[in-house]
Amino acid sequence: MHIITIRKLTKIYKLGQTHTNLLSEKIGNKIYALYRKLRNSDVTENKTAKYQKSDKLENTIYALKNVSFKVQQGEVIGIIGSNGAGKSTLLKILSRITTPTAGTVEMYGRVTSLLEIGTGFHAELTGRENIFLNGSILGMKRFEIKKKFDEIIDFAEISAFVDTPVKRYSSGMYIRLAFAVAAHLESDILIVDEVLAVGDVKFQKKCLGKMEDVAKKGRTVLLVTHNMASVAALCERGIVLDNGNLIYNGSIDKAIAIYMGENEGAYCGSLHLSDIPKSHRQGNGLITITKIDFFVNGNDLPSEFIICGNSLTIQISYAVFNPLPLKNVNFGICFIDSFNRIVSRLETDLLDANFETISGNGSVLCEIERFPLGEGQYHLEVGVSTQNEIYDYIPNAGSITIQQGDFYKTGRLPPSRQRVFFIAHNWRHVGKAKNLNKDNPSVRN
Amino acid sequence: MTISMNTAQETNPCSHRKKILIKAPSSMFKLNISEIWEYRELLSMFVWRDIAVRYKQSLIGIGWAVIQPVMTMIIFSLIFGYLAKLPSEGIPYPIYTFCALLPWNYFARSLTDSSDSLVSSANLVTKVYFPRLILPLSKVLAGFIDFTIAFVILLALMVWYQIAPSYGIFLLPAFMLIAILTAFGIGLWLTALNVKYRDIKFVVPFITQLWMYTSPVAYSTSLIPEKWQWLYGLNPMVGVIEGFRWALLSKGAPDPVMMSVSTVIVLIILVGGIYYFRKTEQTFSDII
Repeated sequence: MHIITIRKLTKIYKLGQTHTNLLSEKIGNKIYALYRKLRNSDVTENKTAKYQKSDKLENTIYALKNVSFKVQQGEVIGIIGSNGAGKSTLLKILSRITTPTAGTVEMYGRVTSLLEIGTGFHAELTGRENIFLNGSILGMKRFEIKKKFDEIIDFAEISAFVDTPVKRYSSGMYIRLAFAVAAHLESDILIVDEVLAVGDVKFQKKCLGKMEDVAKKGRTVLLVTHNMASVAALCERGIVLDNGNLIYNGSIDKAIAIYMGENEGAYCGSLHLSDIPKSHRQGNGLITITKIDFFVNGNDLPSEFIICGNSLTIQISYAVFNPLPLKNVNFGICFIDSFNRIVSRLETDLLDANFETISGNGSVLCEIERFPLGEGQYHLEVGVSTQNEIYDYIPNAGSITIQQGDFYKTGRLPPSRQRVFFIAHNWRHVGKAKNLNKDNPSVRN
Repeated sequence: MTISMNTAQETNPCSHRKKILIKAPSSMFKLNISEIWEYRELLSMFVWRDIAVRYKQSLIGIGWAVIQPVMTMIIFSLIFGYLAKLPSEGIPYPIYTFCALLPWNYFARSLTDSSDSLVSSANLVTKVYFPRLILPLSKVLAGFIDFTIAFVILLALMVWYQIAPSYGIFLLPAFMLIAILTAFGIGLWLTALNVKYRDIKFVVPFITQLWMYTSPVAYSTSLIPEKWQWLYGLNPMVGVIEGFRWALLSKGAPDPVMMSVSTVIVLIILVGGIYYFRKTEQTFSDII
């Protein structure tokens, strides 16, 4: 028996066109149509037709198309997809905020949805009053709220301000209180949308912990978030939506991989270099670099997101135009930041790792354990050579975007103006300062 | 949206749980009163919130519930009673008009608030499910606090002017009910329309103003020519105000025919309002 059964769910939004039986509106529409006709009369016939056609297409949007899936009790499911994929529409239908155009949903038990936290909070009311108000809005009974009141206050860490109007709260306190109420909901099915994207990192972790508790208690959770780390940590199963279609339903790792792959646009994740003309290259062309791919965290598919602090594998593919094997080949790549500074140069020669012989087409891999560059746009230079000759050198091989990442695995980063790159390092306390330089008299104790 | 709340019959692990079925809206009209009963706690929270918030951070606070009707009474007494010398059937003009202001202020306030109830709670409508009907309903109920305060003032005025109520006072709840249902019925229409057409926001002040002048708040029904009385009776607030004056000031009883007409009109407005509201309810979150 499934706790949620979704069958052929479809939602169509009609935009820019309203339809009612109201006389006044019908008249209004007529006048509007006339007005548009007049306005378009000076445009050529062809353009008018085109305009109307595109207008018609825009009028209907399939937010969801025949989406079907089932959920077992106690499952925690991540729903992922890019913006406009239909995630929010799905959650809104499940939350009964909007109705489907076709299809059915069958659910058993009490459903609570957290499409935003602090829904219905009133600025003039105190923390205490808002807990009762917000709790009721989320479907809690009065006695339940009373029972959990102290727990909520503790979780939100606002016990000193419980009788202060929430308009006097700091935004952090406000968010903590709002999440605390939501986190203490008793329900069979919990529907959560992006609420983890709030608060400071410490509180986010606390929320994640609370969410895990919820999941462990056998409650069914549907979670929508762009935070892949939390999806991966919380969910076993993932559903990927794309343009209103369900394109994957299965293990969360695969779902994330598909989502990341799907997100890879024409230029993201890979730099295609075979089309770069000779005039933009230097070298004799015996070896020509054709493509650079970026793989994050050992994924099989190139990733749009190169994340600082995560592992990165750069794959440089090449074509060889020399009948004989080439010896001692050196590959190199340079990262140039937006101020046109070469921030780093990676080269096989520098590591004594030149490839002894290269014959035929292939690719080389450059593996970086924890990518240290801070977020931003970087230009790439790439080249292949030997000591005597340059085979190929592309001074402008395209640009990549590095995303901010959790380099130190603590969830904390220095302010953005105080970081260009990251150094993996350790801190130790040794009690007495180590006399690193015994000849230096300034180091004492 | 149709939500059926029947318990599943099959034996399965979910059988003890309430079944929720979501499907495309059908054209069938379901009132689903039981669901509103289920959400009565939320309804009372909304009522409480409106009352709690209404006079927050104001210097005089709840005192405004006293000042507002008293000031109106003084202004009306000066302009309509003293200057225009409108007849008040032998009753001192201030209490004569205050007795009408009592149901009228409640009605006007409830109408204004309920017609704005959905749009002003757009953040709730788009984020949480509950029967939308309880929003306008809560506004109509929240108006009682001001009404009660004004009622106490009226009792004080009655003592001051030494006016005894008639036996009609027992019918006062019935007259009040007509006022509530009228405000609620019209409020339902307006708030549902307001979701789609924000023009309503601008129309409501005109409606209440016009409605006040077509109701015997500042003047007596006797000013209306006999042959037009039936038409006048189409306005349910006429019966309500006449009823209040009869019950509290021992003025002549309202015409039973007129009262019946009023009641029928109210019921038509109310049923139509609920129907229209329920019919358009499903689209609220999409177009609000």
